[in-house]
Amino acid sequence: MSHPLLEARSVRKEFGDVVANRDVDFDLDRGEVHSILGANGAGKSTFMKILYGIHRRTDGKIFVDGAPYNPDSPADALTQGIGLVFQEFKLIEPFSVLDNITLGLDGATFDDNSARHREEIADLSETLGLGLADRLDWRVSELAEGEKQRVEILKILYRDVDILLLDEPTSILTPQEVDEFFGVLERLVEEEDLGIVLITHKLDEALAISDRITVLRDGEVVGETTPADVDSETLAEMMVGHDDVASVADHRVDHGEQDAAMTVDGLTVRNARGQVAVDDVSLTVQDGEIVGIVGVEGNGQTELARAVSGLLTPDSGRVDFHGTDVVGASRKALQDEGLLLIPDSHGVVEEFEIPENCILDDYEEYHDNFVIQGDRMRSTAQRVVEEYSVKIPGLDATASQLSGGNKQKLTIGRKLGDENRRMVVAVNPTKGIDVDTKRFIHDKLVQERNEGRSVLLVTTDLDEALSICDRLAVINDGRIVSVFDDPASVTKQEVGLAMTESESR
Amino acid sequence: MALDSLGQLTEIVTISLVSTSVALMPPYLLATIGEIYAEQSGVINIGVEGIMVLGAFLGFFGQYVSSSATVGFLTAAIGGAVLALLMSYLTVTRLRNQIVIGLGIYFVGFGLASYLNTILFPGGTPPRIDTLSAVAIPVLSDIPILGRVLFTQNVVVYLSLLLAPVAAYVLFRTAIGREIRSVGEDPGVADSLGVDVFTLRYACLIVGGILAALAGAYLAQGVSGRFSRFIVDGRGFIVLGLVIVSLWDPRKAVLVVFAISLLDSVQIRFQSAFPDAPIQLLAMLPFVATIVILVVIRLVGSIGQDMPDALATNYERGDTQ
Amino acid sequence: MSVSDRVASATPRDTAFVIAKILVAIAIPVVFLSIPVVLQGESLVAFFVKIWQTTFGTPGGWISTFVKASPVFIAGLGVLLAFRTGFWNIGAEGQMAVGAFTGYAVVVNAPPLPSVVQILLVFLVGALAGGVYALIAGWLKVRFDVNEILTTLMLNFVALLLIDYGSQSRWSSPLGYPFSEAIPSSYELPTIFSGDFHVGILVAFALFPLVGFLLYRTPLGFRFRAIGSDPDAAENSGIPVGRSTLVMVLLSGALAGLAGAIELLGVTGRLQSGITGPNYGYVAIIATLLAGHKLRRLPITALFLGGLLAASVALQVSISGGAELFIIGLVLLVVVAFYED
Repeated sequence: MSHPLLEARSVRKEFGDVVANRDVDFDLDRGEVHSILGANGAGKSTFMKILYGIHRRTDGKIFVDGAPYNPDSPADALTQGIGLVFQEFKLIEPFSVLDNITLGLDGATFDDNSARHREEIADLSETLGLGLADRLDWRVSELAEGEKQRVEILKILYRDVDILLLDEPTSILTPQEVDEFFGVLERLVEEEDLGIVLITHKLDEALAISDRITVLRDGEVVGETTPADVDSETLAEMMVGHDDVASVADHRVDHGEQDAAMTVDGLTVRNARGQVAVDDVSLTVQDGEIVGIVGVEGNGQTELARAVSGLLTPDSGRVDFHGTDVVGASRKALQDEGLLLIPDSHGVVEEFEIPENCILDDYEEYHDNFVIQGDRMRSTAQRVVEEYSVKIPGLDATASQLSGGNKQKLTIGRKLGDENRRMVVAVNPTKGIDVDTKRFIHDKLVQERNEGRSVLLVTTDLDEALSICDRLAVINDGRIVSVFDDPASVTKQEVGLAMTESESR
Repeated sequence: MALDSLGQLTEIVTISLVSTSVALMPPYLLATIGEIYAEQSGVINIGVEGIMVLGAFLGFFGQYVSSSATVGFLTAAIGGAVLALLMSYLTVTRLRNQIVIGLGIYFVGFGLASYLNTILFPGGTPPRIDTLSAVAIPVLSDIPILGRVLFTQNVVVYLSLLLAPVAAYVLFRTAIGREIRSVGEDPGVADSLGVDVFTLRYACLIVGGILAALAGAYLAQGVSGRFSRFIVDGRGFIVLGLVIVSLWDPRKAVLVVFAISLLDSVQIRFQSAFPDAPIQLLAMLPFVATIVILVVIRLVGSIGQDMPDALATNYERGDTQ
Repeated sequence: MSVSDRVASATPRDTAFVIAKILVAIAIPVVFLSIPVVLQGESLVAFFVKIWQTTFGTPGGWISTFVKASPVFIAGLGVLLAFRTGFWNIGAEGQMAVGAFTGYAVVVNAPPLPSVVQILLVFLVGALAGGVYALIAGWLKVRFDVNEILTTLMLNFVALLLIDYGSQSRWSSPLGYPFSEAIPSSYELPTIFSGDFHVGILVAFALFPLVGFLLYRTPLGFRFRAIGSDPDAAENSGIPVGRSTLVMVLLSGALAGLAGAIELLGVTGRLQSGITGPNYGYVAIIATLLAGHKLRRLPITALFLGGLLAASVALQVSISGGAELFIIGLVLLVVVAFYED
C-alpha cells in the first residue's frame, strides 16, 4: 500500500486560549496540487507553519511518506524534504541570484561555492522553465517580484524537496506573472513529481490550478473537494459561512441628502517599500453616514487610512475634508480640524497611566502656565472610564494593565470625547475584542452617525462592516473594486467574492 | 643651482610625507578591516578604541618584558581576543544592546590599559622600547620614489597592505564570506538555510578584536616606542566612520585609510615646522572630516545598499512554539 | 503625582533591585582598588578604612563624594533626557567641555559686574553653548538621519581639542604650563561647609526636582515621555516627533554644558586639559545606564560613582587617570549583563 506523500490527521494548534487549528485532516499525493483555501484568520497560515517547523502542533499526527514527521525548525523541515516559499521572500536583496541559491550549502569554507554550483543550477532552471539561467549574476533587488519568487522556488528546489508549500504566492504578482507562475507549477508537478500545497484566499485561482481543494474556516476543515465538483459561489459560501443574520443596527436614523464630509479623488499612495499600495482610489463620505472599506489585509486599506488622516503623504490625488484640500497636512492639523483617527495599533502608550493616556491627543489643552493640571486630567479620565465602562484596577493603573478590549474602549472614549470632532477614521477598531465590547463600540459609532457626523470604517471583519455601514466599498489590490450601496441586501458571499477574487484580466 | 636644490627639497618633502603616511596606515587599516568583518556580520563594536588602547599597552608591555616585538604583538592579540570574546558573549548570546556594551568595552579597554600602566610602571618617566625598523624589499625598493614609499617599510605595513585584498577576497568570493554577509543582512534568512549565525558573529567580532589590538600595538611598537593612555587619541572612533566611508569593503578601505593617514602626517609635519602654532585646531580635522563625510554620504544616499541590513540588531531565534 | 510622590512610591521591588545592583557593583571596585594598595605593601584593613573614610564615612568623605557626584549627576540628567527620547547622546563629555570653554571665554571677556551676575552669566552661556553643540548632532540626525552616536563621539574629541587650544594656546598662562590663568576670585563659586563644597553642588540638588517637574508635569515632558515610550503612538496622536527631539537635544546638551561651567568656576578655577575631570561626561552616561534610564535612580547611581571616584583619588590609584574608567566600565558590563531592565 502506498502512502500519501504527506498526511496530517486531527492536527490541533492552540495559542493559549485561542484554537487556531482544530481537528485538521489533510493529505497530499505525489504529482498533485492541493490547495488550502480560506479567508483571513481561517487558520491556513498556522497550519502551514506547523508543516514547516515554525510552530509545534498541540495535538494530532503528521506523516511524510509514511514516517512520523516532527520538525523542530525550518532548517529541519528543509532537510526532510519540505520547502516553503513565503509570501515575503526570504531572499537577501543585495546578493546575486546565484549567491542566494547557494547560501548555506555544504562545501569547503574557502571555496567559491557559487562557481561550483553554477552549471547545475542553470540546468535546473532550464528544466523547470524558470528562465533564470541568464540572470544568475543579477542582484535580487534588480528583479521583478515575479522573478524573485522564481528565485525562491529555484533555491528550494535545488535543495531536493519533495513537498513544496506556497504561501499566498500570487498576492504580489501581476496577472501576466500569475499565468507564468501556473505554468511553472505545472512543470514542477510533471518534471519533478512534487506534491504542492498552495495556500490562498483567491478562490478562482484555486479552481484554476488545483487537483483538490480543502477549505478552512475558523480553524476547521469545512470540506475537501475538486474543481470539477464545485463552483465559485459554493466555495465562497464555504469560506465565509452562511449569511447568518448579522445584527444590522436598525436604530439608524435616516438623514436624507447630506454634505460630503470627505471626498477622495484619484488617490495613489505608496507603502514603506515604495510599492503602490493605493491605486487611484476615489470615494466620498457624507455627513451622517458610515462608509466601510473592507478587504483582505494587505490590500492597501491601511495606507488609505493613514493617507487620509495625515500620517502618510500620497503620491498624487486630492483629499477634501469639508471643502479644504488636506493632502500633506499633519495629523495634528487634521485633528484640530475635527478629523479623528482610531488607529489599529499603538493607540495608547503602554507605560503611561490612564489619565495620561486620556490626554494623548490634546494634552496641550490641559496646562496652565506650563503645568499640566492633574485634576482636570483625572476628571477627564474619570468621565471616559465611566461613560465607556472601561474596567480598570484603578485610575492610576498603566495602560499595560488593561485588557485589549478595555484599552480600545479607552482610546475610542477619549477620541469621541473631542467636542470639535466631525469625522472619525476607524481602522480595525474591534480587532481581537470580545463580543460585548464589540457591540458597545458599534453602538458608539452608529451614534456618531446618527448625530450627523461621519465615520470611515476600515476593517477586515465582514460581519462588522455589514452590520453597521451605510455603504460598503471593497478594496482589492489597492483599488476599489465594488461598492455596495445597500449592505442590508447583500450577502456575505458576494462581498467575500469581491474581496478575494483576483483582478480580472 | 638653487632651483635644482629647491626641486630636490620639494621632492624630498613630498616623498617623505607620503612615506610617513604609509607608515601610519596600519593602525587605521588593521582596525578598519577588523571592524568591517564585525559589521558585515551584523555587529557594531563602538569599543574599538578601547581595544586599541589595551592592545597598545599589551604590545608595549610584551615587548618591554621579552625584548621581542613578536611577543608584544602576540600579547596584544590575546588581549584583543579576550575583550572581543566578552563583547560577543554579552551581545550575541546574552542579547544586550550592542551600543551599550560597546561603550562598556571602550571604558574597560581604555581603563584597563591605564590601570595596568599605573600598577606596572608606577611613577617616574615611562620607559622606551625599540620601534620596528624598516625592511627594504630587495629590487623593488630601488625603484625611484615608489621604492622608498612603498617598499621600504616595516613588516607590519607590508602585512596590513597585503591583508586588505585577502580580506576582501574571503569576504566577497568565498562561501564563508557570503555566509558572514548573509548574517549581517538578514540573520533570519541565513539561519533558515542552516548558516550558523552565532558562531560567525563570534568569529568576526574576535577577528575584529585581534586586529584592533594589533593596530593599537603597532602605535606603540611601530611608531612611538612609548605608551601613554592618549596614544590612540580617538583613532578607534574614527575607524567607525572609515568603515562606512569604505562602504564595508577592505579594498576601498585602503584608499580611505591612506587619505586619513596623509592628514595625520601632515599634522605631524606642521607641528614640527611651526611648534608655536595652535596645532589643536589642525588636530580637529580628522574628526570634523569624518562628520562631514557621514553627512555627504547620507545626502548622496549611496550607503543604503552597502550597509549590512541587520547591523546593530541582535538575533534571537524565534523558538518553535 | 508630584515628583516626591513618585520617589516615595518606588516599590520595594525597585529598591531591592537597585540595592542588589549596587552590592554587586561595589564588590568590583573594592577588589580592583585594593590591588595597587596591596602591591604597595599596605594592609587591607587600612585600605577598607580609608575607602570608608573618603566616601561615606566622614563628613570630609561625603563632601568629596558630592563634589565628584555633582557633575556626574547634572550631566547625567541631560543624558537621561536624551536616552529616554531615543537619542543616543554619547557627547556629554564634549558638551561639558564646550560649556567650560565658553564659560572661560566669558570670564576673560565680560565687563565687571556684580559677582552673582557674573557667575550666572557664565552658567547661562555655558549651558547655551553645550546645548547648541549638542544640537549639531541632533540636527544632523533629524534632518539627514546621520547616526548620532558617531557624530557626538567625534564632537567629543573636537571639543576636548578646543579645551587644549584654550588652555595651552589662546589663554595659556604666561608661565608656560598647559593650563590657563586662574579665574578672578569674583567668579569663583562660594563654598559652604569646608573648602571644597561649592554651591554648584546645590545646583545639582535643585535640578533634580526641576527636571522631574519638567518631565512629569509639563506638556513638553509629556511629549518626551510619549516619544521615548512609544513613538508610533506619539505620532498617531499628532505629536511632532522631529521638533520635540531637537528641543530635547538642546536641553540635554545644556545640562552637560552647565556641568562644565560649574566645574570651571567651582573646582578647577581655570581652563585645563582635565577640565572634564575623570571623564565626567562618560561617567554620566554610565550613571544613566546603571539607573536604567529612570530619573529617581539617578541620584543613587551618581552618588555611587561619585564615591568611587573620590575613593580612587584618595587612594591615589588614579595618578595617571583612566583607571577609574576601567572599574566603572566593568561595573557597567556586569550590571547590564545581568540586570537589564
